[in-house]
Amino acid sequence: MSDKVTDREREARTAAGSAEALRIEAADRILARRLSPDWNEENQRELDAWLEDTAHRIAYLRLDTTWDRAGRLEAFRPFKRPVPARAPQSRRPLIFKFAAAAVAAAAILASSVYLSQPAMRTYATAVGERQTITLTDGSTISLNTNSVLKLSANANARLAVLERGEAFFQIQHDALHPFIVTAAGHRITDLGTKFIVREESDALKVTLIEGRARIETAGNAAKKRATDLTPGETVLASADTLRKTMRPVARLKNEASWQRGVLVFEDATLADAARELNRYNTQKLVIADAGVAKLKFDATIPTNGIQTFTRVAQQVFGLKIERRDGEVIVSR
Amino acid sequence: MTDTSEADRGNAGARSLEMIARADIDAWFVREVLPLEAALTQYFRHNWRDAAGVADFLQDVYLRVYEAAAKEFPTSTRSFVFTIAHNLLVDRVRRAKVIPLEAVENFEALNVPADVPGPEAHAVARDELRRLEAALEKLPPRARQAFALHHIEGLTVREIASRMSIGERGVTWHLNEGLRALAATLYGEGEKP
Repeated sequence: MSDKVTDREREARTAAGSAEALRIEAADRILARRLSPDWNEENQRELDAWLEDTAHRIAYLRLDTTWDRAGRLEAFRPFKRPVPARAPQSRRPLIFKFAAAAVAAAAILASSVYLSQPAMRTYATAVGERQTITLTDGSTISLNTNSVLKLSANANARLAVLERGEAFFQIQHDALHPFIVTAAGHRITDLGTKFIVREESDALKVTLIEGRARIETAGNAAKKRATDLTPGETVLASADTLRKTMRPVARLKNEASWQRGVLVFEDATLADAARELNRYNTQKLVIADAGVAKLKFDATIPTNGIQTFTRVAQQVFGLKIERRDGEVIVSR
Repeated sequence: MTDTSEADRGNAGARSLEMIARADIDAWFVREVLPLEAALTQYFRHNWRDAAGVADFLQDVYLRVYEAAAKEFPTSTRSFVFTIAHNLLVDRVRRAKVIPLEAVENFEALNVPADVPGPEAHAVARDELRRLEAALEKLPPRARQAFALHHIEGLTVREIASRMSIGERGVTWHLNEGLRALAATLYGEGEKP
Protein backbone atom coordinates (compact mmCIF):
# COMPACT_ATOMS: atom_id res chain seq x y z
CA MET A 1 0.00 0.00 0.00
CA SER A 2 2.77 2.40 0.91
CA ASP A 3 4.44 2.07 -2.48
CA LYS A 4 1.13 3.07 -4.03
CA VAL A 5 1.35 6.31 -2.13
CA THR A 6 4.91 6.78 -3.29
CA ASP A 7 3.72 6.20 -6.85
CA ARG A 8 1.11 8.82 -6.33
CA GLU A 9 3.64 11.27 -5.00
CA ARG A 10 5.95 10.58 -7.88
CA GLU A 11 3.16 11.11 -10.35
CA ALA A 12 2.15 14.30 -8.65
CA ARG A 13 5.72 15.56 -8.69
CA THR A 14 6.28 14.93 -12.37
CA ALA A 15 2.98 16.55 -13.10
CA ALA A 16 3.56 19.38 -10.61
CA GLY A 17 1.91 22.61 -11.62
CA SER A 18 0.14 20.95 -14.51
CA ALA A 19 -3.52 20.30 -15.08
CA GLU A 20 -2.91 16.62 -14.33
CA ALA A 21 -1.55 17.39 -10.85
CA LEU A 22 -4.62 19.50 -10.21
CA ARG A 23 -6.87 16.66 -11.33
CA ILE A 24 -5.17 14.25 -8.94
CA GLU A 25 -5.66 16.64 -6.06
CA ALA A 26 -9.26 17.39 -7.01
CA ALA A 27 -10.04 13.67 -7.28
CA ASP A 28 -8.54 13.06 -3.83
CA ARG A 29 -10.70 15.79 -2.35
CA ILE A 30 -13.83 14.45 -4.05
CA LEU A 31 -13.15 10.95 -2.75
CA ALA A 32 -12.51 12.27 0.74
CA ARG A 33 -15.75 14.23 0.73
CA ARG A 34 -17.82 11.45 -0.79
CA LEU A 35 -16.41 8.45 1.01
CA SER A 36 -15.10 9.54 4.41
CA PRO A 37 -17.37 8.14 7.08
CA ASP A 38 -16.35 10.96 9.43
CA TRP A 39 -16.48 13.99 7.12
CA ASN A 40 -17.15 17.02 9.32
CA GLU A 41 -17.84 20.72 9.14
CA GLU A 42 -14.20 21.61 9.43
CA ASN A 43 -13.35 19.38 6.47
CA GLN A 44 -16.12 21.11 4.54
CA ARG A 45 -14.83 24.57 5.41
CA GLU A 46 -11.36 23.59 4.30
CA LEU A 47 -12.74 22.24 1.02
CA ASP A 48 -14.81 25.37 0.45
CA ALA A 49 -11.71 27.50 0.93
CA TRP A 50 -9.82 25.39 -1.60
CA LEU A 51 -12.68 25.76 -4.07
CA GLU A 52 -12.48 29.56 -3.87
CA ASP A 53 -9.71 29.30 -6.46
CA THR A 54 -11.33 29.11 -9.88
CA ALA A 55 -8.70 26.75 -11.34
CA HIS A 56 -9.31 24.35 -8.44
CA ARG A 57 -13.04 24.74 -8.83
CA ILE A 58 -13.02 23.82 -12.52
CA ALA A 59 -10.98 20.67 -12.01
CA TYR A 60 -13.24 19.73 -9.11
CA LEU A 61 -16.53 20.34 -10.97
CA ARG A 62 -15.39 18.27 -13.92
CA LEU A 63 -14.50 15.25 -11.80
CA ASP A 64 -17.31 15.64 -9.29
CA THR A 65 -19.84 15.57 -12.13
CA THR A 66 -18.12 12.46 -13.44
CA TRP A 67 -18.53 10.82 -10.03
CA ASP A 68 -22.23 11.70 -10.13
CA ARG A 69 -22.55 10.25 -13.61
CA ALA A 70 -20.80 7.07 -12.50
CA GLY A 71 -23.46 6.87 -9.79
CA ARG A 72 -25.94 5.96 -12.50
CA LEU A 73 -24.12 2.66 -12.94
CA GLU A 74 -26.26 1.72 -9.99
CA ALA A 75 -29.03 1.12 -12.53
CA PHE A 76 -27.29 -2.17 -13.24
CA ARG A 77 -27.79 -3.29 -9.69
CA PRO A 78 -31.49 -4.13 -9.41
CA PHE A 79 -31.85 -5.33 -12.96
CA LYS A 80 -28.75 -7.29 -13.69
CA ARG A 81 -28.61 -8.66 -10.19
CA PRO A 82 -32.09 -9.57 -8.98
CA VAL A 83 -30.54 -11.09 -5.87
CA PRO A 84 -27.71 -8.76 -4.88
CA ALA A 85 -24.86 -10.24 -2.88
CA ARG A 86 -25.61 -7.73 -0.12
CA ALA A 87 -29.20 -8.77 0.42
CA PRO A 88 -28.81 -11.57 2.92
CA GLN A 89 -31.65 -13.42 4.65
CA SER A 90 -31.78 -10.83 7.39
CA ARG A 91 -33.29 -8.35 4.97
CA ARG A 92 -36.38 -10.41 4.40
CA PRO A 93 -38.47 -8.92 7.20
CA LEU A 94 -38.10 -5.52 5.59
CA ILE A 95 -39.33 -6.93 2.34
CA PHE A 96 -42.33 -8.56 3.97
CA LYS A 97 -43.15 -5.34 5.77
CA PHE A 98 -43.32 -3.74 2.40
CA ALA A 99 -45.36 -6.55 0.87
CA ALA A 100 -48.62 -5.14 2.28
CA ALA A 101 -48.21 -1.96 0.25
CA ALA A 102 -47.16 -3.92 -2.79
CA VAL A 103 -50.26 -6.09 -2.68
CA ALA A 104 -52.50 -3.18 -3.67
CA ALA A 105 -50.46 -2.33 -6.73
CA ALA A 106 -49.97 -5.94 -7.69
CA ALA A 107 -53.70 -6.53 -7.56
CA ILE A 108 -54.37 -3.66 -9.91
CA LEU A 109 -51.90 -5.01 -12.37
CA ALA A 110 -53.46 -8.45 -12.05
CA SER A 111 -49.98 -9.72 -11.56
CA SER A 112 -48.27 -11.52 -8.77
CA VAL A 113 -44.89 -10.38 -9.89
CA TYR A 114 -44.04 -8.55 -6.63
CA LEU A 115 -44.91 -11.48 -4.51
CA SER A 116 -43.02 -14.04 -6.48
CA GLN A 117 -40.09 -11.71 -6.95
CA PRO A 118 -39.82 -9.27 -4.08
CA ALA A 119 -36.69 -7.58 -5.38
CA MET A 120 -37.35 -4.13 -3.93
CA ARG A 121 -34.32 -1.95 -3.68
CA THR A 122 -34.12 0.82 -1.14
CA TYR A 123 -32.57 4.18 -1.92
CA ALA A 124 -32.01 6.64 0.88
CA THR A 125 -30.48 10.09 1.12
CA ALA A 126 -29.15 11.79 4.23
CA VAL A 127 -29.95 15.39 5.13
CA GLY A 128 -28.43 17.60 2.43
CA GLU A 129 -27.84 14.76 0.00
CA ARG A 130 -29.55 14.01 -3.26
CA GLN A 131 -29.33 11.10 -5.63
CA THR A 132 -30.44 10.32 -9.18
CA ILE A 133 -31.54 6.84 -10.13
CA THR A 134 -31.64 5.92 -13.80
CA LEU A 135 -33.73 2.97 -14.87
CA THR A 136 -32.82 0.86 -17.87
CA ASP A 137 -35.86 2.18 -19.74
CA GLY A 138 -34.44 5.69 -19.52
CA SER A 139 -36.74 6.90 -16.74
CA THR A 140 -35.01 8.85 -14.00
CA ILE A 141 -35.89 9.53 -10.39
CA SER A 142 -34.14 12.22 -8.39
CA LEU A 143 -34.31 11.77 -4.67
CA ASN A 144 -34.14 14.96 -2.61
CA THR A 145 -32.72 15.49 0.87
CA ASN A 146 -33.61 13.12 3.72
CA SER A 147 -35.75 10.80 1.62
CA VAL A 148 -36.37 7.09 1.30
CA LEU A 149 -37.63 5.40 -1.85
CA LYS A 150 -38.19 1.76 -2.64
CA LEU A 151 -38.14 0.67 -6.21
CA SER A 152 -39.09 -2.41 -8.07
CA ALA A 153 -38.88 -2.48 -11.83
CA ASN A 154 -38.63 -5.42 -14.14
CA ALA A 155 -40.01 -6.56 -17.46
CA ASN A 156 -43.54 -6.73 -16.07
CA ALA A 157 -44.14 -3.68 -13.96
CA ARG A 158 -42.67 -0.58 -12.45
CA LEU A 159 -43.43 0.43 -8.91
CA ALA A 160 -41.95 2.99 -6.53
CA VAL A 161 -42.82 3.64 -2.90
CA LEU A 162 -41.84 7.03 -1.50
CA GLU A 163 -41.54 6.33 2.20
CA ARG A 164 -40.20 9.71 3.20
CA GLY A 165 -39.25 13.05 1.69
CA GLU A 166 -39.44 14.17 -1.90
CA ALA A 167 -38.69 12.81 -5.36
CA PHE A 168 -38.81 14.09 -8.92
CA PHE A 169 -39.95 11.53 -11.47
CA GLN A 170 -39.27 11.66 -15.19
CA ILE A 171 -41.00 8.61 -16.51
CA GLN A 172 -40.89 7.06 -19.97
CA HIS A 173 -44.45 6.17 -20.78
CA ASP A 174 -45.26 2.58 -21.52
CA ALA A 175 -48.98 1.87 -21.80
CA LEU A 176 -48.52 -1.81 -20.97
CA HIS A 177 -46.41 -1.17 -17.89
CA PRO A 178 -47.63 1.93 -16.10
CA PHE A 179 -45.33 3.45 -13.53
CA ILE A 180 -46.99 3.55 -10.15
CA VAL A 181 -45.85 5.61 -7.19
CA THR A 182 -47.36 5.09 -3.79
CA ALA A 183 -46.78 7.53 -0.96
CA ALA A 184 -48.62 7.96 2.32
CA GLY A 185 -51.04 5.37 0.98
CA HIS A 186 -52.01 7.49 -2.04
CA ARG A 187 -51.36 6.14 -5.48
CA ILE A 188 -50.11 8.08 -8.50
CA THR A 189 -50.22 6.45 -11.90
CA ASP A 190 -48.18 8.13 -14.58
CA LEU A 191 -49.36 8.51 -18.10
CA GLY A 192 -45.97 9.65 -19.43
CA THR A 193 -44.84 12.44 -17.18
CA LYS A 194 -42.58 14.62 -15.16
CA PHE A 195 -43.84 15.11 -11.64
CA ILE A 196 -42.72 15.80 -8.09
CA VAL A 197 -44.01 13.95 -5.05
CA ARG A 198 -43.35 15.49 -1.67
CA GLU A 199 -44.43 14.39 1.75
CA GLU A 200 -45.53 17.29 3.95
CA SER A 201 -46.44 17.11 7.61
CA ASP A 202 -50.19 16.70 7.05
CA ALA A 203 -50.57 15.93 3.36
CA LEU A 204 -48.94 14.55 0.26
CA LYS A 205 -48.12 17.14 -2.39
CA VAL A 206 -47.99 16.09 -6.04
CA THR A 207 -47.01 18.60 -8.72
CA LEU A 208 -47.29 17.76 -12.39
CA ILE A 209 -44.84 19.49 -14.70
CA GLU A 210 -45.39 17.67 -17.96
CA GLY A 211 -47.67 14.97 -19.37
CA ARG A 212 -50.55 13.41 -17.48
CA ALA A 213 -50.97 11.52 -14.24
CA ARG A 214 -53.75 10.24 -12.05
CA ILE A 215 -53.87 10.33 -8.28
CA GLU A 216 -56.08 8.24 -6.01
CA THR A 217 -56.34 8.88 -2.29
CA ALA A 218 -55.60 6.33 0.38
CA GLY A 219 -59.10 6.13 1.92
CA ASN A 220 -61.22 3.01 1.79
CA ALA A 221 -63.46 2.33 -1.19
CA ALA A 222 -66.30 4.53 0.03
CA LYS A 223 -64.08 7.52 0.76
CA LYS A 224 -61.59 7.05 -2.05
CA ARG A 225 -61.22 10.01 -4.38
CA ALA A 226 -59.35 10.33 -7.62
CA THR A 227 -58.41 13.04 -10.07
CA ASP A 228 -56.39 13.49 -13.24
CA LEU A 229 -53.64 16.08 -13.19
CA THR A 230 -52.68 18.39 -16.03
CA PRO A 231 -49.38 20.32 -16.23
CA GLY A 232 -49.16 23.15 -13.73
CA GLU A 233 -51.49 21.51 -11.27
CA THR A 234 -50.60 20.68 -7.70
CA VAL A 235 -52.65 18.39 -5.57
CA LEU A 236 -52.58 18.22 -1.79
CA ALA A 237 -53.91 14.86 -0.70
CA SER A 238 -54.79 14.03 2.89
CA ALA A 239 -56.45 10.86 4.15
CA ASP A 240 -59.72 11.48 2.30
CA THR A 241 -59.54 14.88 0.63
CA LEU A 242 -57.95 16.24 -2.52
CA ARG A 243 -57.22 19.93 -2.99
CA LYS A 244 -56.06 21.18 -6.35
CA THR A 245 -54.27 24.41 -7.28
CA MET A 246 -53.01 25.62 -10.63
CA ARG A 247 -49.94 27.69 -11.48
CA PRO A 248 -48.17 28.61 -14.73
CA VAL A 249 -45.77 25.80 -15.65
CA ALA A 250 -42.89 28.30 -15.87
CA ARG A 251 -43.20 28.96 -12.12
CA LEU A 252 -42.97 25.26 -11.38
CA LYS A 253 -39.34 24.95 -12.33
CA ASN A 254 -38.54 26.56 -8.99
CA GLU A 255 -40.04 23.50 -7.34
CA ALA A 256 -37.49 21.30 -9.04
CA SER A 257 -34.51 23.64 -8.58
CA TRP A 258 -33.16 21.43 -5.76
CA GLN A 259 -32.01 19.13 -8.52
CA ARG A 260 -29.45 21.82 -9.39
CA GLY A 261 -28.54 22.16 -5.72
CA VAL A 262 -30.31 25.48 -5.24
CA LEU A 263 -33.59 26.73 -3.80
CA VAL A 264 -35.39 29.54 -5.57
CA PHE A 265 -37.46 31.82 -3.37
CA GLU A 266 -39.83 34.34 -4.90
CA ASP A 267 -41.73 36.62 -2.58
CA ALA A 268 -41.10 34.13 0.20
CA THR A 269 -41.12 34.89 3.91
CA LEU A 270 -37.96 34.30 5.94
CA ALA A 271 -39.93 31.67 7.87
CA ASP A 272 -40.76 29.75 4.67
CA ALA A 273 -37.17 29.93 3.48
CA ALA A 274 -35.80 28.83 6.86
CA ARG A 275 -38.17 25.87 7.00
CA GLU A 276 -37.16 24.85 3.49
CA LEU A 277 -33.41 25.20 4.15
CA ASN A 278 -33.78 23.22 7.37
CA ARG A 279 -34.76 20.19 5.32
CA TYR A 280 -31.29 20.19 3.77
CA ASN A 281 -29.07 20.99 6.72
CA THR A 282 -28.27 19.48 10.06
CA GLN A 283 -27.65 22.95 11.41
CA LYS A 284 -31.13 24.44 11.91
CA LEU A 285 -32.30 28.00 11.35
CA VAL A 286 -34.58 29.37 14.04
CA ILE A 287 -36.50 32.60 13.47
CA ALA A 288 -36.84 34.15 16.90
CA ASP A 289 -39.82 36.47 16.48
CA ALA A 290 -42.99 36.68 14.44
CA GLY A 291 -42.18 40.06 12.90
CA VAL A 292 -38.93 38.73 11.48
CA ALA A 293 -40.62 35.59 10.22
CA LYS A 294 -42.94 37.65 8.02
CA LEU A 295 -40.21 39.61 6.19
CA LYS A 296 -40.32 38.81 2.47
CA PHE A 297 -37.52 38.45 -0.02
CA ASP A 298 -36.43 36.88 -3.33
CA ALA A 299 -33.25 34.87 -3.60
CA THR A 300 -31.59 31.82 -5.03
CA ILE A 301 -29.80 29.99 -2.24
CA PRO A 302 -27.70 26.82 -2.45
CA THR A 303 -29.37 23.98 -0.55
CA ASN A 304 -26.41 24.02 1.87
CA GLY A 305 -26.49 27.82 2.00
CA ILE A 306 -27.21 28.55 5.65
CA GLN A 307 -24.49 31.18 5.35
CA THR A 308 -26.10 32.76 2.30
CA PHE A 309 -29.31 32.97 4.28
CA THR A 310 -27.62 34.59 7.26
CA ARG A 311 -25.92 37.06 4.92
CA VAL A 312 -29.28 38.03 3.45
CA ALA A 313 -30.69 38.36 6.96
CA GLN A 314 -27.79 40.51 8.13
CA GLN A 315 -27.10 42.58 5.07
CA VAL A 316 -30.56 43.04 3.62
CA PHE A 317 -32.66 43.11 6.75
CA GLY A 318 -30.06 44.10 9.34
CA LEU A 319 -30.91 41.18 11.59
CA LYS A 320 -28.80 39.58 14.31
CA ILE A 321 -27.39 36.10 13.95
CA GLU A 322 -26.47 33.95 16.91
CA ARG A 323 -25.12 30.41 16.77
CA ARG A 324 -25.65 27.94 19.57
CA ASP A 325 -26.01 24.17 19.90
CA GLY A 326 -26.31 23.47 16.20
CA GLU A 327 -28.92 26.19 15.84
CA VAL A 328 -28.64 29.49 14.03
CA ILE A 329 -30.93 32.00 15.69
CA VAL A 330 -32.16 34.96 13.66
CA SER A 331 -33.57 37.94 15.54
CA ARG A 332 -33.82 41.75 15.46
CA MET B 1 -24.36 46.53 2.68
CA THR B 2 -24.14 46.81 6.45
CA ASP B 3 -26.55 49.74 6.29
CA THR B 4 -29.89 48.68 7.68
CA SER B 5 -32.01 51.61 6.58
CA GLU B 6 -35.59 51.26 5.46
CA ALA B 7 -34.50 51.89 1.89
CA ASP B 8 -32.41 48.75 1.98
CA ARG B 9 -35.22 46.72 3.38
CA GLY B 10 -37.61 48.07 0.80
CA ASN B 11 -35.20 47.07 -1.92
CA ALA B 12 -35.29 43.48 -0.81
CA GLY B 13 -36.69 42.32 -4.14
CA ALA B 14 -33.61 43.06 -6.18
CA ARG B 15 -30.28 41.84 -4.92
CA SER B 16 -27.81 39.32 -5.99
CA LEU B 17 -25.02 37.86 -3.93
CA GLU B 18 -21.68 36.60 -5.17
CA MET B 19 -22.23 33.11 -3.85
CA ILE B 20 -25.47 32.82 -5.75
CA ALA B 21 -23.88 33.79 -9.02
CA ARG B 22 -21.19 31.21 -8.43
CA ALA B 23 -23.67 28.35 -8.10
CA ASP B 24 -25.23 29.48 -11.37
CA ILE B 25 -21.90 29.61 -13.18
CA ASP B 26 -21.04 26.16 -11.85
CA ALA B 27 -24.32 24.78 -13.19
CA TRP B 28 -23.85 26.49 -16.54
CA PHE B 29 -20.27 25.26 -16.79
CA VAL B 30 -21.26 21.66 -16.16
CA ARG B 31 -24.32 21.80 -18.41
CA GLU B 32 -22.96 23.72 -21.40
CA VAL B 33 -19.18 23.89 -21.35
CA LEU B 34 -18.03 20.42 -20.27
CA PRO B 35 -19.97 18.67 -23.08
CA LEU B 36 -17.75 20.60 -25.53
CA GLU B 37 -14.64 18.82 -24.25
CA ALA B 38 -14.60 16.23 -27.05
CA ALA B 39 -14.84 18.91 -29.75
CA LEU B 40 -12.21 21.05 -27.99
CA THR B 41 -9.85 18.09 -27.74
CA GLN B 42 -10.27 17.30 -31.41
CA TYR B 43 -9.68 20.93 -32.26
CA PHE B 44 -6.49 20.99 -30.20
CA ARG B 45 -5.15 17.77 -31.73
CA HIS B 46 -5.76 19.02 -35.25
CA ASN B 47 -3.93 22.23 -34.65
CA TRP B 48 -1.15 21.38 -32.23
CA ARG B 49 1.60 18.84 -32.58
CA ASP B 50 2.11 18.00 -28.94
CA ALA B 51 -1.11 16.17 -28.12
CA ALA B 52 0.18 15.46 -24.59
CA GLY B 53 -0.59 19.03 -23.58
CA VAL B 54 -4.32 18.64 -24.05
CA ALA B 55 -5.13 18.59 -20.31
CA ASP B 56 -3.30 21.88 -19.79
CA PHE B 57 -4.97 23.36 -22.83
CA LEU B 58 -8.45 22.36 -21.64
CA GLN B 59 -7.75 23.73 -18.18
CA ASP B 60 -6.61 27.06 -19.70
CA VAL B 61 -9.71 27.28 -21.87
CA TYR B 62 -12.04 26.40 -18.99
CA LEU B 63 -10.41 28.90 -16.67
CA ARG B 64 -10.82 31.76 -19.14
CA VAL B 65 -14.35 30.69 -20.04
CA TYR B 66 -15.40 30.44 -16.40
CA GLU B 67 -13.91 33.80 -15.49
CA ALA B 68 -15.46 35.54 -18.48
CA ALA B 69 -18.85 34.00 -17.72
CA ALA B 70 -18.61 35.33 -14.16
CA LYS B 71 -18.93 38.80 -15.69
CA GLU B 72 -21.54 37.97 -18.27
CA PHE B 73 -23.08 34.78 -19.64
CA PRO B 74 -22.48 34.51 -23.41
CA THR B 75 -25.45 34.16 -25.74
CA SER B 76 -23.87 31.24 -27.57
CA THR B 77 -21.71 29.11 -25.33
CA ARG B 78 -20.28 27.18 -28.23
CA SER B 79 -18.90 30.08 -30.28
CA PHE B 80 -17.79 31.78 -27.07
CA VAL B 81 -15.78 28.73 -25.97
CA PHE B 82 -14.25 28.15 -29.38
CA THR B 83 -13.28 31.79 -29.78
CA ILE B 84 -11.38 31.56 -26.50
CA ALA B 85 -9.80 28.26 -27.54
CA HIS B 86 -8.78 29.75 -30.87
CA ASN B 87 -7.19 32.81 -29.29
CA LEU B 88 -5.29 30.63 -26.86
CA LEU B 89 -3.88 28.50 -29.66
CA VAL B 90 -2.93 31.55 -31.72
CA ASP B 91 -0.99 32.82 -28.70
CA ARG B 92 0.75 29.49 -28.37
CA VAL B 93 1.66 29.41 -32.05
CA ARG B 94 3.10 32.90 -31.78
CA ARG B 95 5.21 31.95 -28.77
CA ALA B 96 6.40 28.65 -30.24
CA LYS B 97 9.80 28.62 -31.90
CA VAL B 98 8.70 26.50 -34.82
CA ILE B 99 5.47 27.69 -36.31
CA PRO B 100 3.28 24.91 -37.70
CA LEU B 101 2.19 26.56 -40.94
CA GLU B 102 -0.85 24.49 -41.70
CA ALA B 103 -2.09 25.28 -38.24
CA VAL B 104 -1.94 29.00 -38.86
CA GLU B 105 -3.85 28.61 -42.10
CA ASN B 106 -6.49 26.60 -40.35
CA PHE B 107 -6.85 29.34 -37.80
CA GLU B 108 -7.68 31.88 -40.46
CA ALA B 109 -10.69 29.80 -41.38
CA LEU B 110 -11.82 28.91 -37.90
CA ASN B 111 -15.22 27.38 -38.11
CA VAL B 112 -17.05 26.82 -34.91
CA PRO B 113 -18.44 23.30 -35.15
CA ALA B 114 -22.21 23.55 -35.44
CA ASP B 115 -24.57 22.56 -32.68
CA VAL B 116 -26.06 19.20 -33.46
CA PRO B 117 -29.67 18.91 -32.32
CA GLY B 118 -29.70 16.68 -29.28
CA PRO B 119 -31.48 13.34 -29.19
CA GLU B 120 -34.54 13.02 -27.01
CA ALA B 121 -34.10 12.88 -23.30
CA HIS B 122 -34.86 9.20 -22.91
CA ALA B 123 -32.43 8.29 -25.67
CA VAL B 124 -29.82 10.35 -23.83
CA ALA B 125 -30.48 8.54 -20.57
CA ARG B 126 -30.17 5.16 -22.22
CA ASP B 127 -27.09 6.26 -24.14
CA GLU B 128 -25.60 7.51 -20.92
CA LEU B 129 -25.78 4.05 -19.38
CA ARG B 130 -24.23 2.47 -22.45
CA ARG B 131 -21.47 5.08 -22.48
CA LEU B 132 -20.82 4.55 -18.80
CA GLU B 133 -20.62 0.83 -19.24
CA ALA B 134 -18.20 1.22 -22.17
CA ALA B 135 -16.13 3.78 -20.25
CA LEU B 136 -15.93 1.42 -17.29
CA GLU B 137 -14.65 -1.34 -19.57
CA LYS B 138 -11.77 0.90 -20.63
CA LEU B 139 -10.48 1.52 -17.11
CA PRO B 140 -7.35 -0.22 -15.86
CA PRO B 141 -8.45 -3.53 -14.24
CA ARG B 142 -7.96 -2.57 -10.57
CA ALA B 143 -9.59 0.80 -11.01
CA ARG B 144 -12.48 -0.84 -12.84
CA GLN B 145 -12.95 -3.37 -10.08
CA ALA B 146 -12.92 -0.69 -7.37
CA PHE B 147 -15.39 1.42 -9.34
CA ALA B 148 -17.74 -1.47 -9.99
CA LEU B 149 -17.64 -2.57 -6.36
CA HIS B 150 -18.54 0.92 -5.20
CA HIS B 151 -20.96 2.15 -7.85
CA ILE B 152 -22.65 -1.09 -8.86
CA GLU B 153 -22.43 -3.20 -5.73
CA GLY B 154 -22.63 -0.28 -3.35
CA LEU B 155 -19.70 -1.34 -1.14
CA THR B 156 -17.88 1.08 1.18
CA VAL B 157 -14.14 1.73 0.91
CA ARG B 158 -13.51 -0.63 3.81
CA GLU B 159 -15.54 -3.39 2.17
CA ILE B 160 -13.81 -2.89 -1.15
CA ALA B 161 -10.43 -3.04 0.58
CA SER B 162 -11.21 -6.40 2.10
CA ARG B 163 -12.71 -7.72 -1.14
CA MET B 164 -9.64 -6.67 -3.13
CA SER B 165 -7.21 -7.61 -0.34
CA ILE B 166 -5.54 -4.21 -0.35
CA GLY B 167 -5.44 -1.29 2.08
CA GLU B 168 -8.04 1.48 2.17
CA ARG B 169 -5.56 3.97 0.79
CA GLY B 170 -4.98 1.57 -2.08
CA VAL B 171 -8.70 1.64 -2.80
CA THR B 172 -8.72 5.42 -2.83
CA TRP B 173 -5.73 5.36 -5.11
CA HIS B 174 -7.50 3.14 -7.65
CA LEU B 175 -10.69 5.17 -7.41
CA ASN B 176 -8.69 8.35 -8.01
CA GLU B 177 -7.10 6.86 -11.08
CA GLY B 178 -10.45 5.52 -12.28
CA LEU B 179 -12.28 8.79 -11.75
CA ARG B 180 -9.78 10.74 -13.84
CA ALA B 181 -9.79 8.16 -16.62
CA LEU B 182 -13.56 8.00 -16.59
CA ALA B 183 -13.83 11.80 -16.92
CA ALA B 184 -11.44 11.69 -19.86
CA THR B 185 -13.48 9.03 -21.63
CA LEU B 186 -16.89 10.46 -20.82
CA TYR B 187 -15.99 13.98 -21.79
CA GLY B 188 -14.26 12.73 -24.89
CA GLU B 189 -10.62 13.49 -24.31
CA GLY B 190 -9.91 9.78 -24.68
CA GLU B 191 -6.75 8.02 -23.67
CA LYS B 192 -3.49 9.76 -24.04
CA PRO B 193 -1.31 8.62 -26.92
